[in-house]
Amino acid sequence: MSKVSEIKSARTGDMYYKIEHDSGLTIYLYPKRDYNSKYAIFGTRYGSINNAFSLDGGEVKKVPDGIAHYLEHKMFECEDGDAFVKYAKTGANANAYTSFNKTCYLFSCTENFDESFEILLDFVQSPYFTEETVAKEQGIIGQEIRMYDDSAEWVVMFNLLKNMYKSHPVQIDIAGTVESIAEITPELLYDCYYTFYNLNNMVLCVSGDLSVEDILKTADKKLKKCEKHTIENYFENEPYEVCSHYVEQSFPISVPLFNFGYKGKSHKVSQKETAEIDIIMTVLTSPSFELYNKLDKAELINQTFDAEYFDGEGYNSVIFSGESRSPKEAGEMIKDYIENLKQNGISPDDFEIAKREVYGDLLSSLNNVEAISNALVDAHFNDTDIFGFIDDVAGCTSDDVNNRLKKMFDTDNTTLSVILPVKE
Amino acid sequence: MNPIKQIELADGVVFNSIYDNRFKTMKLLTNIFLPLSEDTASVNALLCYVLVRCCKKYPDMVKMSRKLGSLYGAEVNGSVSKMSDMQCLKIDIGGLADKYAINNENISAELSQLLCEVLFNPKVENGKFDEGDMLQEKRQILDMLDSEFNDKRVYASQRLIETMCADEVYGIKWCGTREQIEAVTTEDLFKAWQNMLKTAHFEITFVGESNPENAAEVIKNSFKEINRDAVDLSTDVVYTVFEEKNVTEKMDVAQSKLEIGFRTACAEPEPETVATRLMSVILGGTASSKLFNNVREKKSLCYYCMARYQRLKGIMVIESGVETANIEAAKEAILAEVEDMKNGNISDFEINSAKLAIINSTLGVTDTVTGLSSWYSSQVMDAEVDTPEQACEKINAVTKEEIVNAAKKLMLDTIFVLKAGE
Repeated sequence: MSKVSEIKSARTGDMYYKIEHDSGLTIYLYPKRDYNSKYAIFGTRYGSINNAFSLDGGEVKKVPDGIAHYLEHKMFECEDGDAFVKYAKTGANANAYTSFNKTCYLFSCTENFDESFEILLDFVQSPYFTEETVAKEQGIIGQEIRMYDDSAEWVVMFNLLKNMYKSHPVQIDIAGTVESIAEITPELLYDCYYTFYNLNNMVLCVSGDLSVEDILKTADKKLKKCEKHTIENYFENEPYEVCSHYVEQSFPISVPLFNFGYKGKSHKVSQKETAEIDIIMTVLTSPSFELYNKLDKAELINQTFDAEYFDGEGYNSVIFSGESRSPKEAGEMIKDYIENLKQNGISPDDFEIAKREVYGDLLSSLNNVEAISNALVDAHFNDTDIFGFIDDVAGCTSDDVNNRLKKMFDTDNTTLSVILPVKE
Repeated sequence: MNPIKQIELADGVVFNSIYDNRFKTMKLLTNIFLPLSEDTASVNALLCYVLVRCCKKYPDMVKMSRKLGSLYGAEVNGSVSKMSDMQCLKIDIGGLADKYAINNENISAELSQLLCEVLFNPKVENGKFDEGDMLQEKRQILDMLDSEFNDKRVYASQRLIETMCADEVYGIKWCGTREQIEAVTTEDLFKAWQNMLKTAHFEITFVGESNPENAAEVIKNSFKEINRDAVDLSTDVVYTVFEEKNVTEKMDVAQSKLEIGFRTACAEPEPETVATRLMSVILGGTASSKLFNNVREKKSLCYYCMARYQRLKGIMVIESGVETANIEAAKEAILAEVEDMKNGNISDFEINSAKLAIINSTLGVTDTVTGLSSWYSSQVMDAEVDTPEQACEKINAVTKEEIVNAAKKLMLDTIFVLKAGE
C-alpha cells in the first residue's frame, strides 16, 4: 500500500498530500478547491550537469554535452505515435524543459485531466529511440541552439559561467553544441534514460481541484515499480577561485548587458539558510533599498536589474544581471556597497520591509497551480518543505540575516561578463 | 467564479468588480484607453511610467517602494501597449488579501487609496511634472526601446508590423519614436495627464475578497471634479492588399527570422472573428498545428513556427526562425500549409484539437487574479462581452465550412526577412 501523509499550514490555511507510492515514486497533491485549472509535472533529478555518472558502483560513463535535453525532446516520440498528438485529443497544454539539474514534463488543462494524466505517466515511462528518430531531431535542436546563439541574455550568462567555473559542467550550454549532439545515439539515450528515469529518482506533483483517489486510480494503473539503484554523479575538482575577472563580447544590440557574479564555496544550502538568502537578495535588488537607488541615480542600471542565488550540486554563486550603459562601474558600485553592508549590517527597518516583501511574494505564489507544483518539485529535490520555508522566512531575525551576509560575498572572487554593441 | 458587476462611475469610466475568495491576493487593474496618434504616443507612454514612479504623498521612488514593501510587497506597475488603434496605459495595483496581513493591516483599502493618489495626485507643481522624475523615466523608456532591438524575434516582428502598416495608425510604435520621447517636456506631461483624466476611457477592475464598494466610492469621488468628455474606442481595418511587400534586412546574427503578415478581412465586431481565430490556431497555434507538424516535425526546418491572429485589427502573422539557406524552403512550406487550409484540407482531428486547446486555456483564465482582471478589459472593444464559458460555446459551434471560409479570405500582405550573415 502507498503511504499518504498530510502536510498542513496554519499560516496559509492550505494543505497538501505527500504520497509515497509503491512503485518507488513520491507524489505530491496540492488541492485547490473550485479551480478549473489542473497542472501536473513529472520530473527527474537529471539535468545538463549530470554528464559523468555510474550506476550501482559500475564504471563511470561520460556522455555527450546536451544529451539530457536531447533525451527530453525524444521522450515525446513513442512507439505508438507522438505524445503531442495524444495530448491534442485531450486539449491539454503540454511542455517539457531541461535545466542544469532537472528535466520536467508537464501539462495544464481544465478538461479531461484523467486522460492527460495517463498520457504523461505513459510516455515518460516508455522510451523509444531509433537511428531514424534520433537523426531527425538534429535539425530541430540545431535551430534551437542557433536561436540561443543570438540571445545576448543567454550568451552573457554562459560567458559568465565559463569565466567562473573551470571544470564544473554548469558552464556548458544546456542544449550542448551542434557538434556534441551529433554524437548522440539511441544506445546512449537508453543508458541515460535507465539511469536517471528511475521512479525512485523522480517526483510527480499535481495541483487542482482533485482528490488523492483521483491521483491514485491512474498512478496505481500506470506506474511501473522500479528497483532502487545508487546513482553516483562525478564532477571534476573545481578550484575555489574564478578563472578570470572579466569577459566581453560584441553583439548587434543597442543596450549593453552584464552579469556580475560572486563565486562561493560549494555546499548544500539548508532551508533556513535559503530564507535568509532570499531576504538578503531582496535588500540588494528591490527599489525599496539603497543599492538599487544608488545604481539608478547614477544611471548605471534600469528596471531590468535583478539578481539570483544560483546553486546546485558542486556550485554556489550569486549573479547580478541587467542592462547597463557602464557595466564596469555598476559592478564596482555593487562590490563596494556589499563590502560596506557586511561591515554595517542591514538596518532593522530595512530588514523588516525586505522580510515582508519576501513573505508577500511567497504567499502570492500559492494562488497558482503551476507555481505551486513547480515549487513542490524543487522542494522535493532539495529536501525542503514549502510551508516550512514560509515559516522560516516569517521567523527570520535580523541577526540571522546579518550573520549570513558576512559569510556570503567574497569580494576577491567575482567576475564580470559584458555584451557590448558592435561598433559601427 | 462569481459574475462580474459593472457600474459606470462617470462618463467613460467603468468599474468592474469580481468577488473571489479563492486567492491569497487582490488586484485593482486600471486600463486607460487613448487614441494612438503620432503626436501623443510618446507623451502618453511616458506619463504612465511617471505616474507609477511616485506621487505627492510618496514623493520619490524609495518612499513609494517602501510603502508598498511594508504592505507585504504590494506592487504598483505601469505598462503601455497598443490595442489595435488605441494606446492602452495599464496601471496595475495588487497585494496580499487582507486576511494574510501579519499585523492586521487593511491592505485593500490602502491600495485603493494609493490608486487614487497615483491617478489624481501626482507630483505636479505650477502646471509641470517633476523634471528629475521625467528624466529618469525617459531613460528607462529609451532603454526599453533599445532592448527591443536586442531581442531579434521581437525586433523582426515589430519590423513586419511597421512595414505592413506603414500608412496606418497601427504602424505607430507603442511609445512613438526616440526623438519624440526625448522632446517631451514637464509641461507636455501635465497637459497629457489632464487630457487623460478628461478624455480617456477607463476600465477599472477589482478582483478579490474585500469589499470593492469602498474602492469604487473613492474613485467616483475623485472623478466628480472632472468635466468628462470621453473618447470613442475605434479602429480602422484594412480589407484589401494593393501591393504585396517584401523587405529583407541583413544582420550579423546566427539565425534568420521569417515574418509573414496576412490581412484576414475579418475583425471585431464581426462574428466571424471566432472562426478566424480557430483557423489561426489550427494553422499554427499549438504543438499539433499544421505548421508545427509539417514545417518543424516533418521537415525539421525550424524550432518555432507559429501563427497569431489580432482580431481587433484583422491581421494574422506567421513567424519562424530558420537557417539562412532554408529561408525559401521555409517560406514555401509555410505558404503551402496556408493553401492547404484554403483548399479545405483540414481534418476533424485538427479542428477538434484546436477547439479543445482554446477551451482549455480559456477556462483557465478564471484561476488567476491577472487572468480574471484582463479577461474583461481585453474585450472592451468587442460587440458583445462574453464570459469564458460563453466564449467556449462560440468556439465549439464553429463549423469546418466557416474555418475554410476564414482561410479563403487570407491575403498575403508583407514578408519581412531578417537575414543572418556577415
